[in-house]
Amino acid sequence: MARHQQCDGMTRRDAIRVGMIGSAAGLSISQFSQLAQAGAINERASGKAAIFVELVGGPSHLDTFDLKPQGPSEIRGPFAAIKTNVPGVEICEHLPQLAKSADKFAILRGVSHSLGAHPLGQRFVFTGNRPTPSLEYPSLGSVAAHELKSDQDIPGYVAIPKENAGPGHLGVRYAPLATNATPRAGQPFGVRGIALSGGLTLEEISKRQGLLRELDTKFNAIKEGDDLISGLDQFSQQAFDMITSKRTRLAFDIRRESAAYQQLFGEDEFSQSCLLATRLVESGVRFVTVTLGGWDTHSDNFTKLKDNLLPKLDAGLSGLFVGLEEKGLLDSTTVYVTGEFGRTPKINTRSAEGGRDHYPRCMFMMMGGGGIKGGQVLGESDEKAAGPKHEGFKPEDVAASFFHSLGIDHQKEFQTNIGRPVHIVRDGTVIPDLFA
Amino acid sequence: MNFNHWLSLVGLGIVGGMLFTPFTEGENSHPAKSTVPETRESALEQAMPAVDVRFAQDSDEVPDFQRHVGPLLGRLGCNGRSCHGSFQGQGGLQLSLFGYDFEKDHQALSADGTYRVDLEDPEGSLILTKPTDPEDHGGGQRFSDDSWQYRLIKNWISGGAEDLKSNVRLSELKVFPSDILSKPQQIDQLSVIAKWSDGTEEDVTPLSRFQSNNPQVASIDKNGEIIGGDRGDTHLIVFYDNEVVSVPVISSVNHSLPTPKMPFAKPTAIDHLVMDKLDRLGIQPSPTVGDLAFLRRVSLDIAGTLPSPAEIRAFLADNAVDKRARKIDELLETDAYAAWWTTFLGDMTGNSSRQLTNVAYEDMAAKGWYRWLHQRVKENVPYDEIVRGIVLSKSRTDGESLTEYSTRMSADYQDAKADRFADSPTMPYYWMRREFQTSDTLAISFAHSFLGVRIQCAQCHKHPFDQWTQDDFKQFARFFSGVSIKQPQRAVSGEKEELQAIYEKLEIDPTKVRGGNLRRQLSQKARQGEIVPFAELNVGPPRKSRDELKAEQESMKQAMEQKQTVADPDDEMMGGNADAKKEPPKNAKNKKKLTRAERRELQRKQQARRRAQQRRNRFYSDAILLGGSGVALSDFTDARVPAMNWLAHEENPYFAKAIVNRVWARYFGIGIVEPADDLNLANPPSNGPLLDYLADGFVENEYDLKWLHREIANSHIYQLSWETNPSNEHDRRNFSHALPRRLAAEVVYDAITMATSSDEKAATFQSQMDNRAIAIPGTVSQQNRRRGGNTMNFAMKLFGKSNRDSSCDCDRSAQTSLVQSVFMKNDRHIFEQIRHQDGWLENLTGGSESSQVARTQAKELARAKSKLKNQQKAFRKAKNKDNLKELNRLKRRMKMVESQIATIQQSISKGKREREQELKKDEVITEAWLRTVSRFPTEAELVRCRTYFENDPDKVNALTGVMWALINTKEFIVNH
Repeated sequence: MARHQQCDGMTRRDAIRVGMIGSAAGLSISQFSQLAQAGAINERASGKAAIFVELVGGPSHLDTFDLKPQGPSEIRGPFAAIKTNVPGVEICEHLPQLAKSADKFAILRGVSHSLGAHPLGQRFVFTGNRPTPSLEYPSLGSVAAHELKSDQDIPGYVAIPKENAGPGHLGVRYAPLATNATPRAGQPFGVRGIALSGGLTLEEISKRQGLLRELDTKFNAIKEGDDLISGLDQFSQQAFDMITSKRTRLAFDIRRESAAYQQLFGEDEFSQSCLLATRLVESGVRFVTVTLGGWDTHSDNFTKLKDNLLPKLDAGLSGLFVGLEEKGLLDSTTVYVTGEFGRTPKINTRSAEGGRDHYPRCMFMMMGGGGIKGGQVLGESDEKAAGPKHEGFKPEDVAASFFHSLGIDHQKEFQTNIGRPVHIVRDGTVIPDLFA
Repeated sequence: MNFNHWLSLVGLGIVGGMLFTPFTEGENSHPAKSTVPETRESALEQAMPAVDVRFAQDSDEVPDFQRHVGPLLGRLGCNGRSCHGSFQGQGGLQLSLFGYDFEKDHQALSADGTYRVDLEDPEGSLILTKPTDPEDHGGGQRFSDDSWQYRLIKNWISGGAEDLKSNVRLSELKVFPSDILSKPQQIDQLSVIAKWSDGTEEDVTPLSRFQSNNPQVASIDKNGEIIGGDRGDTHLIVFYDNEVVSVPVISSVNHSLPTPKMPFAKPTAIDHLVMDKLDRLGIQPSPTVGDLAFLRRVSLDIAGTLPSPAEIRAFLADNAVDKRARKIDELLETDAYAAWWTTFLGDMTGNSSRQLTNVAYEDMAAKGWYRWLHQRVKENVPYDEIVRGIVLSKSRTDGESLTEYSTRMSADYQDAKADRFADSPTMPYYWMRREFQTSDTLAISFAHSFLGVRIQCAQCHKHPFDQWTQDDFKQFARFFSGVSIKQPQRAVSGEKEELQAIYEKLEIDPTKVRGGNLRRQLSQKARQGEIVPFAELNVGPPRKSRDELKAEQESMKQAMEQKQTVADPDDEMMGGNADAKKEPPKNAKNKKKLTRAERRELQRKQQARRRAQQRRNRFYSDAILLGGSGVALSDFTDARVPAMNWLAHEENPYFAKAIVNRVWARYFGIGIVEPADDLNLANPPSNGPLLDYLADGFVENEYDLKWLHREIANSHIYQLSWETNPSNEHDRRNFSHALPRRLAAEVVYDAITMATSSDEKAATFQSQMDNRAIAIPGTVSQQNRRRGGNTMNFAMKLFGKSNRDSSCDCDRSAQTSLVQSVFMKNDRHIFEQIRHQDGWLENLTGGSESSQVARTQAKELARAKSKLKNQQKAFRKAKNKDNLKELNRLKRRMKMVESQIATIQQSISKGKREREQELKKDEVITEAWLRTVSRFPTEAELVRCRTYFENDPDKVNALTGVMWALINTKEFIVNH
């Protein structure tokens, strides 16, 4: 392997070593983790875990958190603004629960970018880096999985049901454990690979693991020196620990929450996913991505929002914030909510009641917990919600702030697998007002 | 076709010519090596002494910007990416990243009003005051005011701070010594001499930058001093101007080895070449592997498929000397070989389902791409011909009308296997991928696919490890700027009505129905057998991008304005301009003589000329090949043609090397150049003669891929064991032992199926590719859920099948991960496979017939049990109501059902016992080993499994456990 010296004196080989747990000859895994820990993570940051909510499809900012009640009729829409428990902050009337917990999160308005296609917008916002054809940036969660250490018997990064950006140049090692399904209220929730399947009992799998240990000796001679062999051993043990871990099994079993706690959430699958997310964080998972899709409302925007999307969003997110607070986790868990873009201020006339189209120039985002100062609105859109009124925020700024809340230095450099140095967030600055 | 253009690239001289030498002369030679060996001493004697000597004291010499000041800034680290080389600059000063843009850097330094360079007060120039001041300079103190660096820069400023003096260019960079035999703690020194096109030579050691590709073996400091470290070998890289030179360093592992002896009976050419290097390194190779390990390795590598137990036994029983060679030939004829290596070419060329969604309907394009390649791999069409069919592809055949094209494509769409498309002379989808629609991305993709060169760095700045500059990149990208896609709703001129007719027949109005909706409707109509329009590849003249035209127009406008003001003698404002005064008003005389009508006519002509000029100006008239010569594009109707001719010319330094190196990397887990798709000057091959031999042989054998496979697989080197000895345990780059490799995603998935299937099913699986992961056409399997498509795609993602998205071989991952281990241990797919009704285990425990009986019995039992449960419920109800008569009736019936249950249970356990008794435990255990790890268990392993077997009363469960454990061994998932 060519070892290209970088200008900071770090060779590509070093970086790859630091990047891949278990890939170094000579240093043990734990020493490595310690090194990684010592280097990158600011232990004083409030956020120890994160929940990232992807609103896939691009939610309309005008009909949710950035209403223009005084705006012209062709943009305004039928929804009214209501007061929240924070004086001066108003949101959509169909988000009554969130209005009652507005002190727990900050609303960012006038966030702006220029990529109006779903995949590109998602890759931009969900990675914090504008996409380029020659390099795939990792999702926020994969970066966190790379940076934050988690316990051996629990997955560090879980996606419910999956994430939309992918681990990019960090590789499959930092991909999430995807549940591939969403939990339903009051029903047992089995996650592929986690719950013992195939009629396997704990006793049976332990017996088999015992046999495996005795048969799997072929490469013992080169165990220490070969990255692949030592990596396979490490993950084999960790997988066994996780499969047999009561903690992990229980973490996914949302029925174990008290009835009172379950009532904080709605019965829909998004709310239940949020409930699961809080439970996972409580159990030691460091990063959870939750997805709510369906926001691509080109037609019948208002019915879709009012009847379906907003009630779910309201129940799920309010449950998430209140639930985290109840568990005493809100201060140490950063919640970041965003879609890939906003929607056109002008209501189109293609369907009977009209819809809104892709609109990256103006969108909203939300952040709360993890040292974020709640109960405030940062930024502002212009009179028609068509762009930021002043300078506005870039998705990169919000991503940088998000990592900052977790103690991850967004300017830290990764070596990609072709030896190219890239910052975690290439082009963003932390928004200081977000923090308490 | 103009051959002169591309032939002239051979022996180009200047810097472009340098390109060939590091590759063709092998790793031991040096680009500067001339026919008469020059010693360091004689070279240094001839050359001008170095700047650190010349500027050691005050001097009158005025240094040159390109030769001295620019390189010095690079050497000092000023243009690094965290310093002034950053795209945002630093402290207001921005230099070109990694240097080389001398003009721009000169401008940045000498810009008016910045005082970076102050001609009035040279010592007050910021480029002297800043780097000498540890307080004021963000980058700290770089040199003192009593240093040669200081005096050099000062003299340049006081000499007028001039830009490049003339057209003198670097013609050769000589480095001494040209190779180094090192040992721990040994100290060496590199000397660098620049030879310029005017014949002058200069010692530029203090102005060069140095890097070691493995500092553990040899470290090099900024002055070029080398200290030997661990045993092994590496390369030192020297950078000066845009030249990059590598110097091999070898530190022998064992000096006391007896005279090396070829360890192999009939060594092949590869064996000789690898042994040459190993001898110099003092490394002894591992022994070759036994028949079983060979069979497993070669089956997985050539055919992506595990050998079956029957195959293993037959191979063992074969006593012929040439049985390995015959096995290789046999494997190369299998469908699995064709499928697996088509997938390899699919990775290389980027056959991505996601990128092709807009090209045709559903997965048709990905499938067509796969089938087209597959047919050629199967027929062993020469590699250069395959590439030609991709590079020079067209959507329509010659003279094909829009209607004929649409008819043909609509019929192809009906052809589920895309066999018809496979017969097409060319495969246009390569150029039609969604995110590869600019000439820049196409150039990056082309360089990656066919040259193994990562040119993307040079899109934004000088390539840090190679000679490519941004200008080289832009010139190269021109060849692809004529490529575009015509969407099915648009017509080229002259075909509007024809297209309209097609749409009218379909009863679709493409002005009303758009985007995804239109695509869905068209795909539906195509499914119904109607003729629908398709997207197609358009290859026009190479065209400038809108941004480039805009920038050009802008600068032209500026120039024109300037010219006008200069040319106009009446302009009082310009009266002070000396040039304007000197220049006689050109048109002044003519103007007077012309009549009004003549003037108007003249203006009209001028305007027409200007417009024609503008039209011409939209296109490129020439372009430069990578490291090659200029090409007049107007000589070609398709600018891809000269690029293809250059590509497949036997002197092309990359084309053959890129493919043989990639194929090699598949067999060894590591390339001769590694990463395998990163051929660059700073990343030389670990064994240059070996790479040359394979590349030359490949060309001589007319790009015959099977020749290459045979050459590699028949070598002893390929057949070495992974078990190391003290001399080779640290070697990973010289092929002295096999490196364990995790099986590729597709191969893992298929290996699980193969290991667990019944013999009958396994045989079909080996010969028919329909449901094989190694034969997924694009990046996503279109198999439906029932046939396991979902699970297959799930596993592909988990194990890192290439997503073919970013022009990098690293899109495929061989990493291990936690979720992979979770999958192997606990995914329902694994359990389903082991206990599959067509599986080996079910077959073994009574065959499908008796398992049919068992299933019926199980159903009967379940029915009886639920009946009993209902009766018990009714009984409780009756009890509550004190209904005696009903209670008695129920009691009787319950007794009946209970006895029925007992009978069924008895017969079930009897059947089970009978079947289990038939199980000969040693035999089935051995079979399980052969199926998974393709070898017989050792006595100890057999005993361990036997004990496990005996301790479980449920023998089927016991065998399931053994299979589970074997599938979860490293030995299973690793090719070794």
